[in-house]
Amino acid sequence: MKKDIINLKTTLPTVNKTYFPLDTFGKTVGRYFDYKKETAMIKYETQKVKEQSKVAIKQIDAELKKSLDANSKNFKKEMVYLKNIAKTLESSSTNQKMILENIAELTKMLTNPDMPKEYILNMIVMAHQQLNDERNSSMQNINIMGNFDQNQKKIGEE
Amino acid sequence: MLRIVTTIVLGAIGGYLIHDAKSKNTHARNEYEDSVDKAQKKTKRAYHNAQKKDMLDKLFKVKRAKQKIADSIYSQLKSSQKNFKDINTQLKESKDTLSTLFMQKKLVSTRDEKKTIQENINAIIEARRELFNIRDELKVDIVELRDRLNKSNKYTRDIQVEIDRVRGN
Repeated sequence: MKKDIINLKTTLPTVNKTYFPLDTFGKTVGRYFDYKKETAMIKYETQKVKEQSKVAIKQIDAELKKSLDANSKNFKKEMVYLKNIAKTLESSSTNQKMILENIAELTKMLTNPDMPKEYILNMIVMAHQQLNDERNSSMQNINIMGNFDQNQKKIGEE
Repeated sequence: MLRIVTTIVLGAIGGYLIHDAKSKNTHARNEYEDSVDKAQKKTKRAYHNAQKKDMLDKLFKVKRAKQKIADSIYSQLKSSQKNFKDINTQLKESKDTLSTLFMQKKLVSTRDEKKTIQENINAIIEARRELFNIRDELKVDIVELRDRLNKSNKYTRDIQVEIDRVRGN
């Protein structure tokens, strides 16, 4: 927001004194009208300041609205970004859970004499590799989130 | 005589007029100063309130984003802890299986049977090695996730402190 909006003070006018050269009374009347003119100008300035204040307040409200709109827009963008990462993390969690269940099943199958052990062990190693891939992807996303968290400035600031 | 009277009367009228005009002028000047003062205060207050509102709006939104991050990290931590627990259960179960197999190995008499059981034992040991590796990796993840969560909670708390500070102003 621009701070110069709030400076309302103006320089008050002073009327050039024009005296009637005729006589003392004429001069007095001249001074009277000079004062009257100056007073009218001051009243006009007073009114102007009041109007300026109203305009400045309206301007402040408009700028606030603009800024709040920008905040909301940026916030929505950030939330979409974070929600997408959160969704990926959730899906990775589900995958990890399934892989672990698979490994548990395979481990149990090892006691079955009819099952080919070498094959099952290979399957376990492969499942472990898959699990590592999922874990790495999760940790990468966590790091992205963490870095975003660390560097996140106040919303609206570039 | 008339001239003196006229001068006095005109002087009095002129004096009154000047006095009146001067006092109105002073009054107008004072009113101007008051109006400027009030208008400045009003505008400054409006500006300050707008700034505060804007700042609080930003901070609340940042806090919500940070909470979302903390929630996601927490959910991942819980999931890794659950996986760690499940792996421990699997390790325990496989240990029981191994004990049973060792017992069976002692009980059987033929060489072939002993050989089959030994093969099962070896396979289970191999599988347990993988499970131990997975458990160690999950442990590393849990430590890192805990650290991340602590940091995230700290950032959220910092924002709350900032919110309280702005609110207090």
